[in-house]
Amino acid sequence: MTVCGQIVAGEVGKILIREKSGEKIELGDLLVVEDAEGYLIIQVYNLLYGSQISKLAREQLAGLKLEGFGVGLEFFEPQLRNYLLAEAKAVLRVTSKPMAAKTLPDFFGTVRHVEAKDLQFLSKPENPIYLGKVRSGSKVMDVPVYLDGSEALVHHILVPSATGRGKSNLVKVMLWSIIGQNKFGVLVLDAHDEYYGRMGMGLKDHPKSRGSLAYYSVNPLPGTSTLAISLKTILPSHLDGIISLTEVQDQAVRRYYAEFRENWIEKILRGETIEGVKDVTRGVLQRIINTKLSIYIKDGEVTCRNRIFSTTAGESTIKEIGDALEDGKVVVIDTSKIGDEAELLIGSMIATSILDTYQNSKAEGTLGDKLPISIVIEEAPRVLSSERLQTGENIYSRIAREGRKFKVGLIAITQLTSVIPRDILTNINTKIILGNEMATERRAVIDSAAQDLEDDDQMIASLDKGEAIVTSIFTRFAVPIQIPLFENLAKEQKSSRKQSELEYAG
Amino acid sequence: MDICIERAVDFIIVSGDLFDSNIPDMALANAAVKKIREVTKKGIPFYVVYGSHDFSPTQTSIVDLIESAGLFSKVTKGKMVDGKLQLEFQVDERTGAKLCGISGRRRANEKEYYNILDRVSLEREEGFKIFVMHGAVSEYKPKYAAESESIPLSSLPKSFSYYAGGHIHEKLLSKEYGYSLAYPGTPFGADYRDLETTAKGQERGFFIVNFTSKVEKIEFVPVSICGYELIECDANGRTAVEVQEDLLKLAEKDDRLGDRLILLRVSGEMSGGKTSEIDFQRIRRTLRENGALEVLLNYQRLTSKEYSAVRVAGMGEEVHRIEERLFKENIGTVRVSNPKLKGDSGVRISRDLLAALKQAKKENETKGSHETRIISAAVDTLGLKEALSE
Repeated sequence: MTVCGQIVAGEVGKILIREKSGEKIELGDLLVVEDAEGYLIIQVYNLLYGSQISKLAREQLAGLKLEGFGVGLEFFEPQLRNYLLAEAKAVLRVTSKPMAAKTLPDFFGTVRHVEAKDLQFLSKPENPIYLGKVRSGSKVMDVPVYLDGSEALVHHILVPSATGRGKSNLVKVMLWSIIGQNKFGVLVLDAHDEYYGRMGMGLKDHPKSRGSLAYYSVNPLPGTSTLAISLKTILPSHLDGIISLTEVQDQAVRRYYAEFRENWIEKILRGETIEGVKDVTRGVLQRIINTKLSIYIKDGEVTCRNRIFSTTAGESTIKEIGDALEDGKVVVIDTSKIGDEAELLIGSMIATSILDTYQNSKAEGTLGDKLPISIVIEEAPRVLSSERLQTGENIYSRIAREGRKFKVGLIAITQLTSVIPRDILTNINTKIILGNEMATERRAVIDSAAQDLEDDDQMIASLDKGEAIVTSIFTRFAVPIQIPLFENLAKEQKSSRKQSELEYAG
Repeated sequence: MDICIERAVDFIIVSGDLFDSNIPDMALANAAVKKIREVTKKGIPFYVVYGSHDFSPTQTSIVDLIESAGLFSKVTKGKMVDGKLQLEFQVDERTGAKLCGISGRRRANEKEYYNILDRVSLEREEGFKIFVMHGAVSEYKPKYAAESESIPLSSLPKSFSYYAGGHIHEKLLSKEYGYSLAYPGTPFGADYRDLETTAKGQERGFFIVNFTSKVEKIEFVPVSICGYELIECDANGRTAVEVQEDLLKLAEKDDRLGDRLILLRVSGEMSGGKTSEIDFQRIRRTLRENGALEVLLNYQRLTSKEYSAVRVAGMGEEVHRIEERLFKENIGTVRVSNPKLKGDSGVRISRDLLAALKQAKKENETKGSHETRIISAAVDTLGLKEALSE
């Protein structure tokens, strides 16, 4: 056991440790103080200089050296006189089992770096979602960190992060561990077509992808599905909170639906008149459908610019996707070539279908047989921000507030946590915090964290790419982790597709 | 067939399921072969693929016999090269059209063929090309068939002039996504649902395609075997006696019955009496006596307040869909170690095993032969052929 420091002062939440000379204590380090009954895990959240020499003397010596007068001038026994101090807080006390730390460690107790054996309580759950390995400062330990998928997914997960800190990489790592388990379904609205692996490594390379992964795109790869949605499957309620309509426009939409049912969109586009709807309102609706969903009339035919919405194809797409999710598959929908509204509408249709099915199951008493389902939504403020929700709830906010009751959850990715209402943030019980240089955003995350992260502002600000802190009601403490690079993880486990031995009989 | 002769078509494509089983009723098969021979004698060849109904992995299919007799040409020739399936084109002598395709299969083996298909070699081929396939395409499945097996459009090789599909019972013609996809639908009807949709106006027939170096025109030729009449009886709030009276009234001699296929749908919750108290056979007899060509009854959605029948989820749905749903719901409750017996694979095998075990005894088939045939089909479904032979 290598001692790296000694406790010299402090109070609850602020244990002061003097660093042993030559031992580098880092911000975020997990340290251990042992005692007779067990040990205490403490985490460093601040570093400061300590010195036996007065401030004036130090400044004077520095000035002499800098200005060339201090040749040969050095501190006498520098390792004794100048040193680093670390401020740390107790995160967990481990005796026979881990529990909240309610005592201070022994005064003047020695401190060492945490070792793998100290973290044995971080066990692998039955339905694991792999996140990465425990990180102590910048040191990565060989201790994997998992979430229990059956709990964490339906209690929602937030991934708050600034740009370029590895959000997509994190989600890919999580999905990689989910594929093949067939214990929960995950829907991914992939706004940058970066998950499946069209160009290069991706989820398609998972050894169990066949049968556990589905991919929908307007430009599908051989063997994958075309993203085609029948116009007839769009209901007015799917537009709620996705496309802003005035009250008059909303009423007009519902009148058209009442009159023409599944053909309501086509009838609007074709200019079919109905009582109670003015021409000008219908004209506005035509323009909205055109600009937001890229659907219009061309040469007498209903046409969709991005070829997603069709009058002939895609009748069973939503049901098919719902069934795949209920079967525990990961379904990736490439939305990179469509606008925001179309992407959210498709997600809304699928989410509504799932939530309705699961609500019915609950009413029938069969919800226990259903697998949990989660929806990955990037740029979450598009649907979860206070501003957006002022115009009305949408299916995503509904899931965020009450989806847990029906085993449906969200994995919300955002750069702006501060714009998401507090009551929604409170409902999201796991936050995987990546680096963020914006103080307001860090504050919003800290305020809604499952553990007390009051002192961790600097730690969060200093998180490098691939580093994260997992704060969750399902973890004993806020676990610092290093997320592996997806490509490295996938290369280790990538399927080597053997040449087919199938015989062809014609 | 007569229309094809009359219109002097150059060739006929059959995308599978010409018959409902691999060894159909012999009288039916005889009549069909006679007609096929008549057409081929006029110089009109047939290009075919198997369908999911008329194919069997263990036995010779009637389609094989017809091919051996020189009346059919299967366009499914191909070989495995370095783990890839290379299909070979069959060239129609008269028109130069190049045809190739993949047959329909049970147990989704056809999907596996698409997974290993060498599309590049097919797409590179010049000329007027037709791809003949049997199964449904995922993007065009109707909502009620969402759970049925299908292949995605992207599995098909590109750059063919025409894609001739089978399997689906309704007509479909689409030129979206760069594929000229045609499903003529069943020319008559395979089950009650088909016949009811026909009675409600669904067209039945086939496509005649005019082409040169490209498709010039696709014409749907309707075929009407007989007239249809759909009679719906609402039993809500009526007693069994009253429902019977209503039905007998509906069965009275009427112009609309003459030489028509009558589809009688009775649904609703009766206020008293049991469904067994309604003499449906008498009603059928009466309708036939009064001129109906044939009568099909559907009272799956008829219930009574007097008792609560065991409600199977999906009441009113086709039997095979109910079976599929029950298998899916219960597959997870069975403890098995073989991964092939779990999940989607397990459901498929269960379904196929049930179909194998349900095969009826054929006319002139001995009990022993019937048993052997059933066991053979079951063994093959479970993939135990090799293990048992060892």
